[in-house]
Amino acid sequence: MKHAFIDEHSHIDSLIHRLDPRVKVISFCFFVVLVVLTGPVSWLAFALYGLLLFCLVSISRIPPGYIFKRSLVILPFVFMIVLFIPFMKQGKPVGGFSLGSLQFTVTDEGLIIFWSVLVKAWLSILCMILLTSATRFSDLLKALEKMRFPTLMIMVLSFMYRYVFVIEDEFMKMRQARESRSTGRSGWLEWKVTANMIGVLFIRAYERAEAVYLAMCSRGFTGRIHTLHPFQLTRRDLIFLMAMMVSLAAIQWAGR
Amino acid sequence: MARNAVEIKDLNYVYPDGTRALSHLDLVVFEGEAVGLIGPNGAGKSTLLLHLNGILRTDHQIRIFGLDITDNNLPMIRSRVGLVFQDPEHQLFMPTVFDDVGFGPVNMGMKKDDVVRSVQSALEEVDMLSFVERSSHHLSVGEKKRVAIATVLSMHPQILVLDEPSSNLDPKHRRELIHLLKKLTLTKIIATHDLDLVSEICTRVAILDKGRIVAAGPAATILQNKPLLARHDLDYGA
Repeated sequence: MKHAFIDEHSHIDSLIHRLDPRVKVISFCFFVVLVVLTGPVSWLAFALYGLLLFCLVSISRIPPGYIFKRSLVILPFVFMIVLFIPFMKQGKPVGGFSLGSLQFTVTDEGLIIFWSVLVKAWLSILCMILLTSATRFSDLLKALEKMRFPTLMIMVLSFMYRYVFVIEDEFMKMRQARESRSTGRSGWLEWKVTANMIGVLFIRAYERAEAVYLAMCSRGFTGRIHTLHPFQLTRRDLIFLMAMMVSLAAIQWAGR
Repeated sequence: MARNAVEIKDLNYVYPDGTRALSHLDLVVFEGEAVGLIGPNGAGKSTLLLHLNGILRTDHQIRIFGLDITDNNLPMIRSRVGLVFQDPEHQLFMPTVFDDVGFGPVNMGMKKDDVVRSVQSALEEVDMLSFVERSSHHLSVGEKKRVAIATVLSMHPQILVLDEPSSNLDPKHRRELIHLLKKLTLTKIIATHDLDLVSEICTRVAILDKGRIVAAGPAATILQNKPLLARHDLDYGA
């Protein structure tokens, strides 16, 4: 079966791809932290962050459309959270509406916060998408492990990466089998069957986990995952790290 | 006289739900032999295999090269007995082929260079060296089976235990697998329904039915005995 990869563009050969994953994790996370710390009306800073991101994407040779499209998947969740901000903030009212006996007022300050949170979230999401698309997932996990990220979490992520496709496959096959045997449509029954399928999928995943555990024990697993780290910091990595730090600091200063 | 690689005496196993899987089972496998375990579905083949490296344990009825399976011996036993599961999706659980093949050696405490060397030689043996950086979930079934075998070869086992190695393989990949298994010279124990594979690889055959060994002998003799095979729901055309 063919699947969408999580790290679809991670095999491109570019400066960003060749960097040590640890350097990428550090500098991209630093980017996110600084974006979050920027004041709400520093539109210049936001524009510069966007520009920096655009440059990084261009260097990485990942199609910008791909990164943009993936960010649209996450944005609705952000939108659901920030939707209420314009109504909550005290300040100069700019509009409103009433719903029965309830009165909703949108304030000027609220709107500013709304836009800045939205922009910050979007910039951060784009940055993280670039990080995960420009790094192979296994390298990302190793980098996190090397950086003393909790082992348990890395194991969970690593198994997720390995088995999400297997489970997706299983679900797809079950759905095909169901469709081959269903004639006519009946909305309610459809839902019921889907619920059952999810239940079966859960049990299968659970049993698979047991079998995998046995396979791990057979090869000497004692509760700790050990892996080898082939990473080596080069001068290029350090230069990139310095360049990122300097440009981020400059943007912060410009947005003041 | 060859050493006893595996020695099983009066092995009994009852699953937690009360199903009796193995009863009074005796079996000896000599070093260098290739033994085919054949029998109908639910005969207890897989259960027996899980006993060979101490995943399932009962008291002192199994010895591997003279070693009892105890807590102290377990790491040694597991590196000597390489168990390849039927479903390669279970066998391959790490993000890349390299990590998967290196999993056993790293757990055995090998040094970094030795791990890399073991991984390379194991992958070379199964002819998959060019896949070292790939993710397991993008391999075909035949490739997965080969890598699954490499994951235990990298631990330098003395006994290779395979559960249904040829299941789900198309004729070409099955042929390649048989060729590969013939090439490996270590002691082999193969549980399978594929009697053709047994006749090509195995020197001796044991028929397992309802949890006990009902017949054992040279592969040629057993596979020619059609009434015996038929009695245990087995069928061999050639």
